[in-house]
Amino acid sequence: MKRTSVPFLLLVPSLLLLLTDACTSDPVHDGEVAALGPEAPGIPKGEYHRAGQPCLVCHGGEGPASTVFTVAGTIFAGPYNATMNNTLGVDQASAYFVDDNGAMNAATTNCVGNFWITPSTWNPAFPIIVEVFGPTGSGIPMPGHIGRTGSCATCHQDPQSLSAVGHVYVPYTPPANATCPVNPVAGAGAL
Amino acid sequence: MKIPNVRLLRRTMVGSALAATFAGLLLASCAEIPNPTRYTVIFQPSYAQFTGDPNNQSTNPGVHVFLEQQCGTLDCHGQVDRPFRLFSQFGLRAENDAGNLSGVGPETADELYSNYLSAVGLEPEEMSRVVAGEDSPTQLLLVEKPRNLVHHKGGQRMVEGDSLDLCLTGWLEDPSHYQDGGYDPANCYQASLVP
Repeated sequence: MKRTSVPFLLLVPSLLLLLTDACTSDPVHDGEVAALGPEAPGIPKGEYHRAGQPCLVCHGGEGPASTVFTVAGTIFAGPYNATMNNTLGVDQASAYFVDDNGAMNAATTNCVGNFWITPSTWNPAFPIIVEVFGPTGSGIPMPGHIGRTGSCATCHQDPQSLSAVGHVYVPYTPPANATCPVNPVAGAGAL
Repeated sequence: MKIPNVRLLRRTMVGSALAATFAGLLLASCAEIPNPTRYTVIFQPSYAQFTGDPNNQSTNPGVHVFLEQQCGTLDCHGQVDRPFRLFSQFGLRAENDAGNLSGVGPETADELYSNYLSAVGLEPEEMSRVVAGEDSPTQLLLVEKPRNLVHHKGGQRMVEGDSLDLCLTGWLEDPSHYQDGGYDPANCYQASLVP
């Protein structure tokens, strides 16, 4: 009887494992997730984390986050300052959206300025037009539309540059919010 | 009688055939001296129609405004590494003397001309055939993609006969070649109003 060597027996499952890994891993996506860096100190994963970052990198369906968003972002206090020292999130700001089919939806921010819409709430047909409002009602319409990306911060990155338009803001100075469990300044970490 | 060496004979024949082939290829490669005066004529659509009236963009925006608005957002063709790259005031900016960044300051003449080159240079030879009346505009990716006739990651952005489509195809269809063709600024004005 012909004997099958032990190394050969190990080779088959190893190849299968590699093949499975190759089908589930997207190096581009993995690179985008890695580029976001670690969580800010003292802010756990959840509704207050990573303000100003492109939410759908992780929450777009490819993971690693389990919750999926169709549109999400952060609204900061304005006016915009290129020195980036005004990344204070605005609580109770609103973003109103109209998609290509004329369907409308809105989202309201939490105390760090984060907002999100899940697919069960709204699954828009791109492009989307959007207008953001501060808590007192002063609004700013976006001059162009959102082409196909649900993360505000894909285009609204800081710092403003030739290829980035800077963070989303409303002309509003929020009062100190003692009830916010984290520091509402993006990236500042825990209180 | 001497018996011929068959193996030697076969080798000689194969060697001769190979040598003849190489000699033929060598001759063919040297058959024509490159002609430095030879060129391919490329026909391009009007730059003036593309830009519209620089002094009256509100009523005669040309073709560029709707292309920049509909295609040139930062998450689509307003990206440096994409084909059909478009610059615009609220999208991707080119280096400029004023130091204007995305969202700041008007579009520059260089950005406008770059956008024109992006449009006509996407498929230059096919563009030439379309402008010369030899092919339909629907042969161009510039029309096929936004109509979603071929896969377009951004989906359908215009429908045959709407203002965006009429602005774009009218620009491409010289009336001397296309019976109902020709650029109409009114279509581009309507297209520029689409959010």
